[in-house]
Amino acid sequence: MIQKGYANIAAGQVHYRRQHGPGLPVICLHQTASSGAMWVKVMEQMAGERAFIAFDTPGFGGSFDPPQLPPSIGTYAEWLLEAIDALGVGQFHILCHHTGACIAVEMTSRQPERVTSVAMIGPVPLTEAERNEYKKHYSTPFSPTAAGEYLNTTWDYLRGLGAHGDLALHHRELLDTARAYMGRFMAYTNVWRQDFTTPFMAIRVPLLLMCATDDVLWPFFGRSKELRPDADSAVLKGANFEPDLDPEGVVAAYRGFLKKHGL
Amino acid sequence: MNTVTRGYVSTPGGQVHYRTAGAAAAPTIAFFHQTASSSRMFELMMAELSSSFRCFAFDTPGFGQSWQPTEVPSVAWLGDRLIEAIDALGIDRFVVCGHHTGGCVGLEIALAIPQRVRALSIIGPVTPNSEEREQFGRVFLQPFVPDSSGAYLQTAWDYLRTIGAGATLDLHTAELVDHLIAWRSTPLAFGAVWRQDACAGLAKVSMPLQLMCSRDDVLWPMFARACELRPDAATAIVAGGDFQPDRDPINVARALADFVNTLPAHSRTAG
Repeated sequence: MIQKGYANIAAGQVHYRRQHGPGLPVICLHQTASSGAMWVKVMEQMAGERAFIAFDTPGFGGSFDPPQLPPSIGTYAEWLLEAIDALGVGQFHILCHHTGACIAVEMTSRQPERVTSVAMIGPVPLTEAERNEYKKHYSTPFSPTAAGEYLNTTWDYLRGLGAHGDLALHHRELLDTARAYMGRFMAYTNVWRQDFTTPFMAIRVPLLLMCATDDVLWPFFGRSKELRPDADSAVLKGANFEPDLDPEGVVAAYRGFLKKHGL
Repeated sequence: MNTVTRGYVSTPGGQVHYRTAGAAAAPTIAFFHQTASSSRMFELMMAELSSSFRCFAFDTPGFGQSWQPTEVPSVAWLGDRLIEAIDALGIDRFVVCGHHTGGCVGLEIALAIPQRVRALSIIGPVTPNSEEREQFGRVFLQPFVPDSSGAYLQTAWDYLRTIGAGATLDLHTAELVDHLIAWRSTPLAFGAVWRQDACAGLAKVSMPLQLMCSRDDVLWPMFARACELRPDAATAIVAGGDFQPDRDPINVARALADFVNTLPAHSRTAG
């Protein structure tokens, strides 16, 4: 059963969904501008197999809002490590998606001794030029306007990312994005100025790379695998919402990965 | 402590989400929100009151981050679910403050456990006569059902403007999110509200009573009826349309604090 709660850290309250189970917990990190809700289907399918904690990154879901733009993506990693500490967790696995992967590599580079494996959906090994190009598309906030037309702009944007594959998902993502209109701007600003590749190359624990062929980050999936030929990999379905639209694919790949490495 | 913090409390039906502020030893006020808001609507008031009171604002089951029931048999049923949360938090005696549907819920809590409710304060009392209950039962049941075109978003946004949520973009956005989280629960809760005989309950409730409203509240026409039913009640006219706690928090908090401070000394002790 999934229980929700808050981890209290110096900067504020970090909201999470937790499912108890055997083994070291799997820390789940979501994409921008979702929340830990994006991991519920995967958690439910793996109930009884693993312990899970899916956080809402600060600025998203039920977590606190950063009072100003965090200086780097590493700040998010430090907040979440503090939240993990607050929950009394020592070592852990990481399962992450898009921006969650950007945060995960920073967590791993800061405290490599605590991270026992990393599984990422949609790795982000972009060059600086590519990041500058993406920045144009993914850093403009959907700021509320009195007329309210920003809601339909957001709705259409989410359709473009594939959320319309499930109306309940589309609805949930709309609400998460509307709630996080500032959080989204802050997180993307830091994603596009992060050098993802260096900490990605430094990961020394079992690594699983996953992506759907219709994910916006699919063009970089081949590069990720070339950079890390030692990593396991799996191709998924589900556009940019693999854990919601292809939970069976995510779970099958993740189970196989954990089993192969005896984790 | 002036900071509002959030938490969950486990009840038989599921987790109830709440916001809290104030010292543990201070007298307790429990807040209940309108349909389809959440405990967020009391954050500003709680910040005002937390130096003198221990405040708890609950997300009613079906709303905010609380568990989602599939049916709402009655307002009293919602009240019972919230009493479970209050019990689980170890709260003994408390003042009830409810807004709109939250007032309906608070009334049922006051009727269910009168010995524990020191006083009842209702912002925007819902006191329809039987004709209105029948009429509103047909009108106020339209939820904002998600549709693939996304048209329901604009419908909800425009509805919220008509009831005064457009005062600020932050309020409008927060209420939009809360209303759409609760798209399934909204008709369930409204259905229960129009089945409730609030006039009978209000006439019967025995503890000190305060009635508040603003002239631009959609429920303003019912305020006079509530005051006629209970001429003994303390009253306060505040501002802010249907969103008094967000739009006129200082005056609402002051009116509530003044009312609570008139309670007999023996009932002013901590819960």
